[in-house]
Amino acid sequence: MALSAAACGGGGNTNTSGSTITFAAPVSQTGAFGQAEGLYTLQGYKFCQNTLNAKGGINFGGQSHQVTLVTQDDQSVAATSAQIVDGYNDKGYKFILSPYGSAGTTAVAPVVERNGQVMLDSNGADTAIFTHGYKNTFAVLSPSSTYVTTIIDALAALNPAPKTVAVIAANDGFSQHAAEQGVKEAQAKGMTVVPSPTAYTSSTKVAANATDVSPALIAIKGLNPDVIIVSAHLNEAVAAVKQASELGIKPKLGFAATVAPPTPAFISALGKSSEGVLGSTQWVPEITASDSIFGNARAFLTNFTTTFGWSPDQYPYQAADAAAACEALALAIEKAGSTDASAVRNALVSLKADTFYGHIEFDATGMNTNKPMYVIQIQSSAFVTIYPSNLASKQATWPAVK
Amino acid sequence: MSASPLALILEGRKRPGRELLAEWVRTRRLSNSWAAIALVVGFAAMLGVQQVIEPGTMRLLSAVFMFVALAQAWNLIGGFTGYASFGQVAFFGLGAYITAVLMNNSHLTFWLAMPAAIAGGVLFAVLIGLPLLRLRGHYFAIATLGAAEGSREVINNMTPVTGGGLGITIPTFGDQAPTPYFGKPGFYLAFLILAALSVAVSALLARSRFGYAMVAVHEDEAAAGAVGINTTSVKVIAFAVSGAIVACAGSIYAFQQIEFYPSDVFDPSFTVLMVIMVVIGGSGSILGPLVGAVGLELLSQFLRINLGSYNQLIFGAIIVVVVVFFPQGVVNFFRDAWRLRRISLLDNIRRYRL
Amino acid sequence: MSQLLQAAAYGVVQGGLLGLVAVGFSLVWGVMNVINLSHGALAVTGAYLAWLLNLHFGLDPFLALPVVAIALFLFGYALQRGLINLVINAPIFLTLLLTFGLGLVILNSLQLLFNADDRTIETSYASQSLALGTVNVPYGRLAACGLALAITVGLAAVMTRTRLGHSISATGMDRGAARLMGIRARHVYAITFGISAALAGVAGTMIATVGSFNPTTTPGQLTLDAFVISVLGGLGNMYGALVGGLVLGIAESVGGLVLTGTWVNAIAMAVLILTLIVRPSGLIGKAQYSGRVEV
Repeated sequence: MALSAAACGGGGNTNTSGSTITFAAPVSQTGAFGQAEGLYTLQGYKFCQNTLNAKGGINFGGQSHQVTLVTQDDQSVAATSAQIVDGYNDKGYKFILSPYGSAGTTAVAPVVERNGQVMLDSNGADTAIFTHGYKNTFAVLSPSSTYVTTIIDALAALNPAPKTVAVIAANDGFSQHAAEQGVKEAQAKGMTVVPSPTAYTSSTKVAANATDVSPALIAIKGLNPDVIIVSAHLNEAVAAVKQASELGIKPKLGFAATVAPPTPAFISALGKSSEGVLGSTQWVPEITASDSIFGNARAFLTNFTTTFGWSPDQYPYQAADAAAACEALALAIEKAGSTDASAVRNALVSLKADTFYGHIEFDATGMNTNKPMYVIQIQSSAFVTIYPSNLASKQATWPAVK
Repeated sequence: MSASPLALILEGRKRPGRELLAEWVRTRRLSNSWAAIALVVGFAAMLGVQQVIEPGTMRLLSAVFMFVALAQAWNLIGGFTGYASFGQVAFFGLGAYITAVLMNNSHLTFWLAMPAAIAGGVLFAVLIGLPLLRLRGHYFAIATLGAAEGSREVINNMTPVTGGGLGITIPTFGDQAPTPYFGKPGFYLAFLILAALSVAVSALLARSRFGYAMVAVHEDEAAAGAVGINTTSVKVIAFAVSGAIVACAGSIYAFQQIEFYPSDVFDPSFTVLMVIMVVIGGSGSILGPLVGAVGLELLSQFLRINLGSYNQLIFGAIIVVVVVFFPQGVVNFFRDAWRLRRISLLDNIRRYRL
Repeated sequence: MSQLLQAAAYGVVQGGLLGLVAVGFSLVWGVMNVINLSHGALAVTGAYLAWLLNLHFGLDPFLALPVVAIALFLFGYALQRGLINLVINAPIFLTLLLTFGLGLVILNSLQLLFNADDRTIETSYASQSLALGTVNVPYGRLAACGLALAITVGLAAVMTRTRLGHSISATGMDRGAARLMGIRARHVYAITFGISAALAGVAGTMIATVGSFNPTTTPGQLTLDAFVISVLGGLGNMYGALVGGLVLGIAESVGGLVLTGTWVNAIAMAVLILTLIVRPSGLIGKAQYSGRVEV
């Protein structure tokens, strides 16, 4: 890594090559996340491994260490993720990269804790992961509680700002926590939440992964919210946009959703109906910070999309999360100057790094404190950053509905 | 014979225990003890294996043991009694949630929570068994499937107690833990004991009068009733024993997982796996579900570890091939082949094709 | 009140679509006593076919229906003739397992071919709706519902009026006797399964038009829906699937509005179980089918 080469004071890289270091990850190649979010996460890990090794690997003690990525399919089942990580411990793999999603990460965290492994969480955002006092799990991404609040903040900054919003939330931990905080934020910003928040917790809750959300929409019909916010995953968000149109429900200003819009699959599932939808995301290519491995965010996007054949307009942000998690682990190992798990853990606790992913610094619970969330809008089938305003690449099309 | 089947099983109790034991010991021959010997030897062998394998492998084998217990449990109601339940995962999920709620909300130890989970399983079996076991064939299957889906939704919506869709956590760290975490060797042992007990219970039931009653209900329920078997209690008891084993498995599984969501422990694929394991191994026997569970779980893990994105495709194809070539189950096929001294897969196909 | 009317209207058109999903499943179950766990996978195969036709040739999904139906019919015929007929006389669980394995193969192949993204067939009309006062009736689902009705009526006519239909019914009632009458059971079974697969393909195309589909979660959901609806409606009556679909559609839509959270799913299951206990043959099914003890 150029960073440490410079720190060593030499012009060229004089390090001899040392032993390889293994990063191990349960990944979803089959099941619900297979060939989708699980694949994007895997691509992020692979991209990090390749880039890291091309830049000379991890350098400490006068030696450069290449990184080997070991993966195993977890079939999108949380218990299997946990079992895989236990198996890794037998082989002496102490450095774990998380599986895709909150359920898998939640199941792995206690295993990692007990085995004295260290896990970098790339795609498990549920706040519950960080409330059990685990010491060995560190998340580069922002927690679930920020997904809807960011949308509310972005909406408040738009002109016209909505006066009433409706929140539909899926009945899973991630979506419920996100919606709960979002409703509070909306009220704090002086917006009216319809149906009233006591009713919200019940009547606009939909089953997780539901493909029919019409009852929740009918409950909203007639209340004429300015914006409908969907705190859920892909299925529910796609259904909400489609069925709202079927039911003649037209929010005055537009739609917003949490994790669905910034995924290419959202556009492929909705086609033209996806135009104008707002979505909250963990990462955008306009982030200004940069690092010596990936360069800045824009360079990451260009190199990543070229490597894996993505369009730069529709990129999976999950891969950026994954690469950032992998990078944070590499930085911590270098900082610790050792592959001892507890030394690396301590290095993570005090890690402060500016990267293509923004600033990475963990608080006592293992969350990446103060990392902001971003809001994108889908314009002409491309992700356009609209919030925060200093990173916005284009004006939001607002009101989004005609 | 108007006594209940349970009374029939217990009939022998009229004689003093010591005399019974003496008679039992006197009548032991290799021919009637081999199953018990095999069970003890197998159990001891697995204890031996535990000494030489690594902890992560123990976890993998724990899953195998769990499926042995689940397959034996399903075989009692689906194989012997002929009532194919598609909702056994309901007991698994209930067992898991009873355990987690008692340990988390009430701070009870696992040793109280697990019996409570078993009791809950039995109670649920009786409650839904009485009305549902009047249904037959597919209708029983779909009704139990409905019961499982329904109970998941109830757990999902009882948010104040169960955490609902937010999931639940069993406290296992520091002073919070009502029972110290077992660790991988502990869960290996727990699932091994459960597997051995489920095999033993199935074997004892199968060889008792009650076992014949179960098979009689399977073969011809009306005739079984006509000869004085109380078919309702046979069915409900078989269902309850099955439910108790599955609930116990769910209870241990919950403690092992620590954190989980309703969708994890009410996953219908648990039921599907139980059925596949029993049918492919050979239903209505003790060895069949055992072989099916061990074979399929190991195969599925092997494919998962070695084949990446193709593993489920190949797993599906293997099921298709096995069903076509071994329709009576692998164990039954080899037993027949041994007895008749001929192995012909084509005979198998000729038997069931149109 | 207008909310209730809206829920009821939506429930009706949604119910029709659900009925369409179940009608082929119910046919195969009734005639061959096979619970086809690959039904959802076949429907999604049809959906992909229609999606490809739309993507590459701009074919409207309703115009693509005949192509999808014929392709799926041939696929279904071949499956039954070459594979399922091999174990058709085995205990019911084997056909169940066979179709489960088949479903795994189909849906994993689709996932590898097309990845797991959700897809939809875009039309200018499917998500628009007819506004009747405060009640909106979506055109896409309305058309799907009409199609379900037409197919059901057509199927009932085929079964009662044509030689083929009589052969199918006769084989379903007593295969031995049917064969003695010169009916070629292998062929009849394969045709039945072919029709069922074609109907699954049609249903899949409709789902793709009014909603979205993916190879991972959609097949299982559709199979489960078809299973529940077939039981609810009852076997042995061509209208059973439609009636079951309508009841489920309306119950979920209205119930979802009245009940809080996702209790409606628990209630739906309770209704299903109660129906079975009170009337095991389903709402309009024939009693002979619920008496079959075939495990």
